[in-house]
Amino acid sequence: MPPIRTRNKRKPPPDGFEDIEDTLLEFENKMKDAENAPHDGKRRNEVLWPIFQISHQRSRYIYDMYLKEGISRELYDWLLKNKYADPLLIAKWKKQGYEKLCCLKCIQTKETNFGSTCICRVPKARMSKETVVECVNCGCHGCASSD
Amino acid sequence: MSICVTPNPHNYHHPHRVNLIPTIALQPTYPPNHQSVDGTSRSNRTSRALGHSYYYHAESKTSTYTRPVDPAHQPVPKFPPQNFQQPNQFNFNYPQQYHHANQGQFQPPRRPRRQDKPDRPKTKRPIPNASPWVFVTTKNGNAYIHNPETKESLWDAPESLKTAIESLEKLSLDEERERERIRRRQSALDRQRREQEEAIANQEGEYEYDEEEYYEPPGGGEEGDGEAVVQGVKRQASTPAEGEEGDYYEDEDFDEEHDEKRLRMEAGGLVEFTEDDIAWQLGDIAAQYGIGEEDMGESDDLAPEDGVLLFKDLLNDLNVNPYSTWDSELPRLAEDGRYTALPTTKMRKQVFGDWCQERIASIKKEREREVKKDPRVAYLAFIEANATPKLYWPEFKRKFKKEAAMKDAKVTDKVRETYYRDYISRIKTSVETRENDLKKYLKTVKDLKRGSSLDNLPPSVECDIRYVALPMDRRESIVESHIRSLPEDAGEGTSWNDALERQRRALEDREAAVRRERFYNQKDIARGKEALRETEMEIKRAMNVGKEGLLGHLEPTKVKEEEGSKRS
Repeated sequence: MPPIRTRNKRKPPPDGFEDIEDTLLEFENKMKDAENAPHDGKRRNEVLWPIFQISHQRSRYIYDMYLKEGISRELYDWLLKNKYADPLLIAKWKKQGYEKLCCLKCIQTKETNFGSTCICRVPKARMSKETVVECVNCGCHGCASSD
Repeated sequence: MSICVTPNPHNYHHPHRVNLIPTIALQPTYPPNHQSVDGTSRSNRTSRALGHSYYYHAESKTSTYTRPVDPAHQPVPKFPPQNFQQPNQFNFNYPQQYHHANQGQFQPPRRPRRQDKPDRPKTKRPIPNASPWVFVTTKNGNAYIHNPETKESLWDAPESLKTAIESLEKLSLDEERERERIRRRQSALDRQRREQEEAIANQEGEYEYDEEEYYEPPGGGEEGDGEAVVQGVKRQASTPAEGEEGDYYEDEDFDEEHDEKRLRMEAGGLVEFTEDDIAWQLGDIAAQYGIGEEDMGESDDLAPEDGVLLFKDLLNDLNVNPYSTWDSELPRLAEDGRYTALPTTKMRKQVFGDWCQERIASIKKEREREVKKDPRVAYLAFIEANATPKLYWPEFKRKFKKEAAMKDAKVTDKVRETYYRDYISRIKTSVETRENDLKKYLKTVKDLKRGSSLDNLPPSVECDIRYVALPMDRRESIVESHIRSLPEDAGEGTSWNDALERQRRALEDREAAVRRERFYNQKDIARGKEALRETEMEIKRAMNVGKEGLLGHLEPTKVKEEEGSKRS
């Protein structure tokens, strides 16, 4: 049986964690609220949108902090290891054209009938002005890099 | 004396039912609850178990459902009150009253404290082409005309004024239409803003509504016409007595300011609603939401660099946490006027990001300069303050699990536990033994020096349980005496001298090292040169080929070999 790791027993996080602890706690609380929010009257997909959104925001925050050198490489790795951020999503952000990607589901072409990506990946310039995009996967309103 | 009785206010406004009930059957034996309608008349308004109210005149012993009016006190004798049932269009400016009058039949019992509140004039509009006369609407939705010069008021207008009043109505109808049109346009502009605007416009209306909900009008007997209720128009042509009329005009002056405010608030009811007004209102709303004018497409004359500086100034002043997110800081920032120093939110975000980066860098530098304290020190101080032999470690841990010192991840739980158990076991011993322990321990410590002070003891001492277990004054005196007893080091003297000496020594060391290095280098170079010369000689020898060719190189070795064999 693997050892049970509680918050008190785990290895202490690297230096600098105290600085971002409050913000991370805020995200955690937000996520809990979103998980427990009532879903009556919502579509099946719609229920997951706030979850995707908060997860995206938290990953973005950690990645930004790392880029601004607010957190050390060591702490960044620790955060990724402990699932504070989505490393696969951050990996996509490093690619050109995917800088603002909302979620990984939206670029999964194998899940669509015609091998296309989600509507939110289409640049605003390519669509008529009146079109309001709200993608089914995560409720994104458009995440093309040129927007 | 006239008495008004209202046992069941639900039926109070039911003219139909009132007319159906036989009068004699309802004759009360004694009025259970009565109020004076007006000071002088002798009518009673009484009621029976059926809950209908009527007026009873004690002297003439007559009863009536319609409100009796003493001809001597009637202010409007010329115009019979029946006329008021028809011109319902007087009320068109107050649509909420239609709604309310419909509701009136299902109203809950009204609060008694509001019951005898008299009707009051609410709005006053001058009648065009009839200068002294003004058209007054009361809170209950009744309308009458008033001449402020002669202080004369009439329920029904004379023929000469009727055309003027009609034109006034037409004017207000136009205003109504105009307001509708503007409202529609605004809704197209921005739905949310429109809601806000309506909230402002309706604020007064809601207030009115509340007033009416609990308001029991003093007179209402004359609305015998069923049509008025069917149409949902509440028009009680209550006839105030002379004593009350005096109050009316005192109140009117008092209410004038309120009325003007109301006119302005309603923005469209009575005042012409122009494009300027809309612009002003939108500006007001924008100011409320913290949106600058710049957001609405207007340019600012502030230079962009200044804007950036101003915005950074704002961030500095508000002590914004550079480790937080833009979204969480935004509400605080938006309240400040300098928020609009930058034209777009995109720019603001960018400047915020830059500022955070700078701030984080400066914080890092500060931290590097600071002396790092052992994380255990805070925990030990906490133990000193809170630990008692009465609590076992698990109890202590549970009791103080919310404390910062207990949550600090830098100190592991195991360390905490050992410290706590040690501390408790030591506390149980006498102070003398603990003192001796500390003295013994101090003799083994090598970090302490003559110059060291109590404030910055080495962590090895500060975090030792023998040091912590003693009370503050005892341990300090012991450590102080120990430090004084320490032999003077080589580095004795002032710290400045010490530093100089250290510097000199370091310089000497460095010079020696450099000399050594140079010596080795020179040696290396010499060796290299030697090797080079040798190879050059070899090459020269090799190049020196005589007539015998390569044999010349071989022969000497042969000769040598022969010589060698001879020797052996």
